[in-house]
Order: sequence, then structure tokens, then C-alpha cells
Amino acid sequence: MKNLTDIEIIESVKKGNHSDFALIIDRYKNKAFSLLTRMLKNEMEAEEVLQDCFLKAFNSLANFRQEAKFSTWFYRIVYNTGLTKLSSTKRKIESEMASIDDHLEIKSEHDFRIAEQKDFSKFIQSQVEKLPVKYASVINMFYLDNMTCEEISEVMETSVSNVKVMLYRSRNELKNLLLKFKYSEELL
Amino acid sequence: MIQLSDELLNKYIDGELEESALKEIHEQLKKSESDRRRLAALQTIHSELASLKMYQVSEDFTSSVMFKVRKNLKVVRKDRNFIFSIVTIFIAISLIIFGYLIDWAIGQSSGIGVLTENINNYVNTFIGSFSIVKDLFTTKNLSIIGSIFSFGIIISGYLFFESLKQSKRNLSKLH
Repeated sequence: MKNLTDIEIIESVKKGNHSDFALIIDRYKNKAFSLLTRMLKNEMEAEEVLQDCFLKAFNSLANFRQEAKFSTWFYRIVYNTGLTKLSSTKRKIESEMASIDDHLEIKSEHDFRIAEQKDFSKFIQSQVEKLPVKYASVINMFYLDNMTCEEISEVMETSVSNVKVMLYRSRNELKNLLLKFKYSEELL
Repeated sequence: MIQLSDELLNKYIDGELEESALKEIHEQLKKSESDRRRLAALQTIHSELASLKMYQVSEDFTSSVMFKVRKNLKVVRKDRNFIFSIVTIFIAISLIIFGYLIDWAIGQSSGIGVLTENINNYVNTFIGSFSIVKDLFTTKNLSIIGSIFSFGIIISGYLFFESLKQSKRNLSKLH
């Protein structure tokens, strides 16, 4: 099948070919699901919220103007719906949504155990899951969705420099953990 | 001894530094083992994050969302048909009443001239200054307006029955 662009698919959906929306779902479902899972820390909730996000996107397609990329527009829906879900479930959002001025520190009881296994990938993946919502979102969008800092700032409605601060802090914290748990000898 | 900042190392990884800054960093890295270690750790993190785990939704996710999309569309269509029916009924009733009033006025008058005079008086009393509206009610215009309203009633009736048929079809599909 011809590799249609997002805009071509959306134009087709707008013309009444509603079943084409399935192409958009297939294209974004796993990436958006990863973002929501890292935000909500719960796969079942993330899937429910993602269904709502796709429905919202479908119902608002008429409002989508091609000034921004579809992915940015859609991720803004996903990110905001994720935040709404977090606040509605009355989690301790204040502690999770640390502002960028707050100190970022990742703590884990299993850090030493994982570190002893000397499995870099497992170790880092497990630490990413423990990042606060905003930091995890930035990491997810930057690495998994290959979004630029500018696009992420549009999604999160914050400045580009804030996004960079969150990205650098996340990397630095992970780097410090890596050095702390004696991986450093293997790095050189 | 100068130590390279984390911000600088991050920018180095992202390729955001200019040639002159790059030279300085390379010089510093040659001198400091600690900086080399920090950079290597950061590069490891960067490459590990590049292969970040992607979570997978359940297999029937797409079909489940599409089912909800279609269901949602049916509800919107039903609502639209309902509003259309109500508007059509309202217009039809208004036109019937207007037609009945015209018919009654003709019945009350002995001739079309008297009728025109009555309508003119009516318009003068209630509208007064709206002379443009008054001018509409001349003998010639009255027959034109009557024809337009009759046509409107026929069209409204047709649309009303069409929407009624469509609603019935939608209901039978739902059952």
C-alpha cells in the first residue's frame, strides 16, 4: 500500500472515508501508548486514556489546521489528556510534576541489585520509568518519537529552554547513577 | 583544574556546539580522565535511551477505537436528523398558519383592492416607519409571495417526510 502522509490520510477522513482513521491509529498507537504509560505508570489506564485521545482527535479533526504537524497536534491532546487523568485520579501530582527548578533525584531500592547484574539496558530502562511525569514525557518524545525540542515545547506548552533543561537533567541524573554504580570502569 | 559542565557535555552530544567550542572540549578531554569518564557515561545513557522500550497496546485496540468512532458518528447523525425534523416541522407549521391568515384575509375582503387597503392599514399601524415592508404588500407582490410560500410548504413537507423515513431506517438498523 502507498505510504500516505498524515495530512493525506486526514484529508481522506475529512472527505468521509472514516475507516482511514484506522491508519492514523495504527501509526501512533504504540508511541502514544508509551508516552501515556510513562506518564500514568499504569498500562490499563494508559490504554483507556489513549482510546479517549483518539476519539477526541477524530471529533476535532475539523479544527486541525495544517499550521502544525499532525503528530504535534495529536501529542498535545495525548499529553493534556494524560495530565487531566492524573489530576482526576487525585494522585500526588505535586510531587510527580516537579517544576524544572526542583531537584531531580531518582531513588530505587533495587538499584544496587540491578547494578550488580551489569545490565545497562535493563538498568536504564527501569530508571526512566521512575522519572517524574514531565521528565519522562520529554525523554519519551525526544528518543522514541524523534521529536525536536521545539516540537516538544509546543506539545507541553513550555519554552524550548525548559525542555532542554529537563532533557539534560534527566540524562545527568541517569549518568550519575551509572557512575555511582561502578559502571564507569567499563565505560573507558 | 577546569571541569567541563554537564550542560556543555550534553550540548556536545547533541551536536549543538560551534567549531571553536568543540576544539576547547577536545583539548580538555585529552587532559582530564574524569571528564572522559563523564562524557562516556553520558554517551552510554544517550545511546541506551535511543533504544527506549516501546509499549504495545492490545491487539484489538484499533478495531475497538474504530467501533467507538462509528458508534459516535451514528449518534451525531441521529441528533442531526432530530434537529432537522424539529426545524422542518416548525417551518411547516409557520407557513401553514401564514397561509391560513392570508386565506382568512381574502375571505373577509370583498375584493383584492380592499384587501390591499386592509393590509396597508395593518402595516401602517404596527410597523409604521418600515415603508419598505409596506411596499411589499402590493397586489402584484402578494401573488408572488403567496406562490413562494406555497412552494416552501411543498418543499418543507417533502424534506420532513424524507427525514422521517431516514430516522425510521436508522432506528431499524439499531435494532
